[in-house]
Amino acid sequence: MKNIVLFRKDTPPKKKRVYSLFGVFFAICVLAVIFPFYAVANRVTPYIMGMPFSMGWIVIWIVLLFIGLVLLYLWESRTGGV
Amino acid sequence: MESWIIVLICMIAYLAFALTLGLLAGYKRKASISEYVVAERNISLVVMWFLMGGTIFSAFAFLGGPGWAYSKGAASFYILSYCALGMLPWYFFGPKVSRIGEKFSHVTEGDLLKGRYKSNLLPVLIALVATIAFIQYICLQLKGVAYTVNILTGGHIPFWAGALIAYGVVVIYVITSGVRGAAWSDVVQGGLMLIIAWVVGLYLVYHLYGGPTAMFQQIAATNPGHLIIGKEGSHMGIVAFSTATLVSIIGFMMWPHLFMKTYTTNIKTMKRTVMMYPLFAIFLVPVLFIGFSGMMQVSSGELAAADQILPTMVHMLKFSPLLIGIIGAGTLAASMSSADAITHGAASTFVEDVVRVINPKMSEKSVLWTLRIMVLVIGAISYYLAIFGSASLVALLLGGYGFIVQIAPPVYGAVYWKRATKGGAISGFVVGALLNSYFAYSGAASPAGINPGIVGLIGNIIVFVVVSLLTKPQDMEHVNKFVEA
Repeated sequence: MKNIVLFRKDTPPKKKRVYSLFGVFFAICVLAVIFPFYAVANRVTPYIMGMPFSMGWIVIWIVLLFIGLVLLYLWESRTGGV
Repeated sequence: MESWIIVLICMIAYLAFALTLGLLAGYKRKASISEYVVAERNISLVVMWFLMGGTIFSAFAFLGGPGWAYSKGAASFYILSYCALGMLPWYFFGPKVSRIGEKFSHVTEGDLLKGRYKSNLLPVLIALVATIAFIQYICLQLKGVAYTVNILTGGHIPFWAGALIAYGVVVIYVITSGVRGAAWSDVVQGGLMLIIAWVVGLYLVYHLYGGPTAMFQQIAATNPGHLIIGKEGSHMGIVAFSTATLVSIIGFMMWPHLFMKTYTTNIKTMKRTVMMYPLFAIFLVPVLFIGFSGMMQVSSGELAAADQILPTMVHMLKFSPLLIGIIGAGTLAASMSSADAITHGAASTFVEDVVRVINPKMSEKSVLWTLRIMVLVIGAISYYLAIFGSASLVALLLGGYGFIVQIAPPVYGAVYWKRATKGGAISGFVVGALLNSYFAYSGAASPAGINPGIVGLIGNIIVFVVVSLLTKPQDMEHVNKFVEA
């Protein structure tokens, strides 16, 4: 495992923590739209903004993903990391 | 004047416009390999977003999306997830690959692998397999164009002619302007397409049903399985659905033409492009509505292929010819903006990773000419297959992804894993590509309905790791220039 390098040597510990946190969140976004977790959304009702639940659920996760990415980007540009 | 002629004039006007724009983009730029392939590494955010988006917002999304919503229902939702999530890994590996690329002047995915694994064979193998995938992808766009022109002109322009003319325009401006021609026309084509998708999608749903909820209620009442996965009356099982999503997410950035964009821009633009990308998935929602709206209107017997649902709906509704013409132009835009990027990507990959590896002493001038000839050759092969092949648009795309996803282990290994070796990367890739071809094309059912690309990927990773650990580690000083970059 010591041969796997995810971060550069000089990466600040804070950045490693933030990246790991967002990494976990993005992984959840992926798991939410595939089985077995997608099973909770695999039905027609209730309708979300006119869409069947199975479709609206995916759209909601896309919005969450987008918000997550914006937050990560803002954090990085504020700390001068971009 | 007969209405189909007005429709045709609109589409021809659009083609002329796309051609002019594509040619202007390359005007007065100096002809160099670096400019032709990566536009001197300085493409801006808006252009980049559309360039990347154009690849998704293609005949696949514009015609294949509605086609799947119409014929396979909920299975089409995978398109949304994959579009939103596909670019995500780039946020993390892109900057690293970009730093490595600048250090070693890489311009293609093959350059990275060749440098890291010190192998000429690996990039050549990958480029050859990628070319097969690219051709399937171009085929998909050409079929889209051909369906659209044929149906919207009421059958007056034959299938073969529509594709020939539209793709001819693409080939001309890609040959003359390279990647910059593709980028600028993508902005205009992408914009046009977004507007048309929303206007047509929402219009159909409100005009025919009074709103999306009413439409979906009707569908649910008549076809209960259509809007869910893996139940009675559904068109796709849960394993097939999940693995189709995964193969597309993992494979997306591995397409050589998308990976190459790492070298066309800076890290800031890269991260912002990834950040904005999920919006494209939201824009796809009304596109799927178009397909669903056709369910109660068109019986499947009336269509030669489900992918014809969008042009058929438009044709059926008897819009004014001018409006139909604009929609036709939008579909052309969708197909052409992808066809240009992919044709360019395929030719660049083939020339950089195969021709120049075999014959490294070529002059800059002869490389540029070889690039242009390859554009023509790849164009001709794709055209032939599009006119005479029969696969559906989404099937073509998934077929391409099965091959492309096999590039992921060598790429991630190259930049994250010090113990990855040449032997491991090559043997893994070969096993993955063979497994995928076997399950995708021999007719043998893949285990548990797993997507053939994922079956290949699992074999690929196992062989890659085992063989890497069994072979001698590469020189660490060399490896660190990549993994510690």
